[in-house]
Formats: sequence, structure tokens, C-alpha cells
Amino acid sequence: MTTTEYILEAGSTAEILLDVETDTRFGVIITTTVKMYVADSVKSKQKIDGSTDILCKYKLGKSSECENALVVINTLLDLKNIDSSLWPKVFADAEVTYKLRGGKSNNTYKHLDTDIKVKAQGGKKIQMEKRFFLTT
Amino acid sequence: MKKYIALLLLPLLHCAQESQPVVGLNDLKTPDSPGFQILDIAPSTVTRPDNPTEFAVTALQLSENGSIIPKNFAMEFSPFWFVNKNDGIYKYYNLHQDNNRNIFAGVLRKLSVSLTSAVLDSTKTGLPGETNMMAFGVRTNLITLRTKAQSDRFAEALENYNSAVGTLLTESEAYTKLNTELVQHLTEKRTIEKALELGTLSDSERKTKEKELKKAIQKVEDTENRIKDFHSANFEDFATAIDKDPDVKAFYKLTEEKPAFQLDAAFAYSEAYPDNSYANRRFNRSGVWFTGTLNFKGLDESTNDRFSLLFSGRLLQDNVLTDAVAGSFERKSAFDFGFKLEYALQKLTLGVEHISRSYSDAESIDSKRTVGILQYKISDDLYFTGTYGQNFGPDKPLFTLFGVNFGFGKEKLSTKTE
Repeated sequence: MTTTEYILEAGSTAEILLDVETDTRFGVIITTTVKMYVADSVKSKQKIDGSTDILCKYKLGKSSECENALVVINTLLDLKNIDSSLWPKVFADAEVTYKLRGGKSNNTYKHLDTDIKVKAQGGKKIQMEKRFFLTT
Repeated sequence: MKKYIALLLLPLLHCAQESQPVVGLNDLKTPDSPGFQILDIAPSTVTRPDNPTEFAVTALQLSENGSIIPKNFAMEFSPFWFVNKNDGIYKYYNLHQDNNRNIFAGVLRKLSVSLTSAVLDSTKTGLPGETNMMAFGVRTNLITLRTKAQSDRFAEALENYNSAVGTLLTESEAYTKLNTELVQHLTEKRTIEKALELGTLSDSERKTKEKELKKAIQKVEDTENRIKDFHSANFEDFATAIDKDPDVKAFYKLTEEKPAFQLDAAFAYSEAYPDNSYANRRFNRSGVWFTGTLNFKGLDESTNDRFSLLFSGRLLQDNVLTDAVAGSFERKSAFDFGFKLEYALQKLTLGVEHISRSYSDAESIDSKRTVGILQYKISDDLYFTGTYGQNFGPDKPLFTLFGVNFGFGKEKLSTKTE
């Protein structure tokens, strides 16, 4: 299974927070789209990288609202605007760290995607996806 | 560090072997390193730093006497990018969301260090043989000023880009259906696990639940694989769709917009090695210079064309040949002042540059450089650069040059150039 399960404390009202960090540079555009699937409903949040080291911070909601929720985080690293010499190697090593906090435990999950798709067609794009299942 | 040392040595090995290099061509800018500029063999003497290059190797093919001699090279790198690993788009373009911009942010980010070697024909100056020129250079951006309107436009375009990409990335019906299926299977799996965790089931009930759990896990894994296949099958279309999206295209176009004003500085020091011998080493020239650039909108906003006016002042210490027979030189101070007018229209950039060089106590050797410069972007990774005109020197030498610049990567040189 590639989905990471995150155990929440039953009945907890603590908030669940998600941080997305990356070690990339050169002004690569990093777009993060978070979707939370709970039963038949879908909540969506989008953010582009900010000016802090933690590129994206999300408040997913209270524990009670996140039970049996599938959180899908799509990250796109777009190198299209970069006119400097970048080695593909730099981006093959690109690491995005997704941290979930709150709820019962203070688990963190560091995700190094080894199956990065690099597309060089008028630019380069790297797409990563990480999924968490929040349960009790 | 070993990797970087190996990369530093690679171009030298290439020059020695004169074989076809297997290097990437991510960025092919004109070889305007300070090292080439101090030797007066760069395509343009009045330049500004572009976006930084972590490490690049420049190959310059200098056309002299109708022959092309690939003996010249330059290495240039930006130390900041070896250390800094967190500069997202806002920091990179100095776009602070609170509008608190730092006009000096480019000092470290655009600082680059270069090492240059060029073999020049000494017979033109009356000396025998060839002279290998080695130069060390540093350049950076001191001030970058964008107007508030420019920053606001950029920030808005970035938001539109983000929204467009997010929609393309996750809004498809098939993708939503797969994730909805996955959440159902994960919920089913967790429900079974909870029943097992209670420990109140009979043996037969537990065995049944364990079988159900296996099936549920299989369903989860199957759906995860289908999501993975979905991404693999659609990534190419997705990447193409992004590049074709109007909001994304508008943003890319805006990244090409130049700041209203830039002030750049450079320093270079060069030595000459006649007959490529260390024993014959002598000081050649050193200089420090400043370049101010004003960028203006062009004639037609839809084409994103622009005019740039650059002014440059350069203080030089020059080792001037005073006696060709005896091979004696004398150090003299000189001051260069000049301008460059540039017009950029889509893939084509045209420029004219004029610089006057005045020696403090030797007016007889004052000279001028007037050249026309053409650059054409053949593709994202391939540029053609040509310079033609009169260079510095007492004989008003004709100056012709074609250059390429490439970085390390996995693609072959034969596929792309700038």
C-alpha cells in the first residue's frame, strides 16, 4: 500500500495540520493541491509556494471532521520559467516532505519519491502525489 | 564535492580531446563572462547578469582569419546556489507577499564567479606566436527595481497559474472517481481491522474477517495501482495541457518581463601566457565596471517586445605593448564608457553597442568599439548569437564572433544549442 494511514484519537477535536516542504531552488514554481475525500464529498485547497521555508501550510480541519478522510496531495514542480542551467540531477533528487500534525499522535512522514516523472518538452515538470488516510 | 570537482575537470578534458561533448544544454546564453569581457572578445561588453547559473561551461568559437578555433572556454558558477536550497518562486523573483521588496536581494543570488581561457593570435600586435589569456571574473546584481505595478501583475499571474494547474492536475472525472473508490476501500479495510482489534470474535468469525481483510487490502492496492497508471498514462497530456493553458502562458510570458531598473557590477583580472608557457607569464589587464539598465515597454504589448538602454563605465589597468621588438609592456590606466541599445521581439534580440576607451596618459592609443549584436532563440534550449563590427585596437580590427553556452545535463550537444 502506498497510502499512509494516520490514526486519529476518537472523539478528538484537535486540528490536523499539513505542511509541505521542499529542498528545491532556483525559483522553481511549486504548486500544491490538496484534496480531501470524505465519503461522497470532496474538499479542495490549493496553494503556490510561499516566501517561507515551509512552502505550504494547510489546516485540514478538526479530527472529528477528518475521520475516514483520504487526503491527496499533488505537488507539481515546474521548471519552465527557469532560464538558468539546471542539471536534471538536481531535480531527480528533489525531495518533498509532507508532515501531518495534530490529532492523537504527532507523527511525521517524510516522503522521498523515487519514481519522479521528469518531462522535458519545452520545459520540465515533476509531479508527485502523496496520500494519507485519516482514521480512528 | 567530488562531483563538482569532476564536473569542473570535464570541460578541460573535453578541450584536450576535442571530442563531441555529451553535455546538457539547459541554458545557452551568450558567453558574456567578465573573463571574456576583460579580454574584449565577448559578444557584448555591456551586459547585465541574467538569472543565475549554478554551474555552466561556456564554449566560444572565435572566428579569426576565416578559421574557427575551438580553443576557448569559460567556467562560471554561482556560489549562492550551492548553499541555498530553499528559494521558491516568490524569493527568486523577490516578490514578497507583504509587498516588502528588497531591491538588494540579487547581490548574493546573482553573484557568479568565472574562469576563462582564450588563445589569441599575437602576430597582430607584432609579437610572435599565440598567447594564452587566462582571466578570473566576478559579477553580480547590486540593485533590481520592479515597479509596484509589475509586482502586482506578476503576483496576480502567479495566482492564476496556480489555479489553472490545480484544476488540470486533480479535477478530472476519472481521477475523482478513482480516489472516491479508494476512500471506500480504505474505510472498509479499517472497519474490518477495528473488528479484529476488539478481540471479541470467535475463531471462525476471526478467520472470515481475516479473509475479508485480505480482499479489502487487495482492493486498496488495485485502486492505488490504477491511480499510478492514471498518472503515467496522462502525464504527457497533462504537461502539454499546462503549457497550452491561457493563464499559464500568460504567466510564462510575464516572467520574461524585465525589471524597470537594474544596476550590476563586475570585476575581472587577466594574465597572459605567451607560447602557453607559465615562465612567460605577465599581467594583462584588470578592471572593475558598473552597468545600469533601463527597460521600457515596446511598441506592441501583444508581442511582449521591449527596449533596453544600458550604460556602462569601466576602470581598467592595462598592460600596453610599448615595444614589439623588445617585447616590453607598460601599465596604463584607462576608462571605458559606453552604451548599448537593445530591442527584443519574441525570439529575436537586436542590439548596437558603442564604447570609448580613453587612456589617462596615452591619448594616441585611445580606441573605440562599435558592434552590432544579434541573438535568435531557435528553441527553449538553443540560441544563436552573432556579433559584427569594429573592436578596440589601433587598427580598428574587424570583430566577428559566434558563440554557444551550455550547461551539464543528460542531453547531447548535437541536439540543441543557444
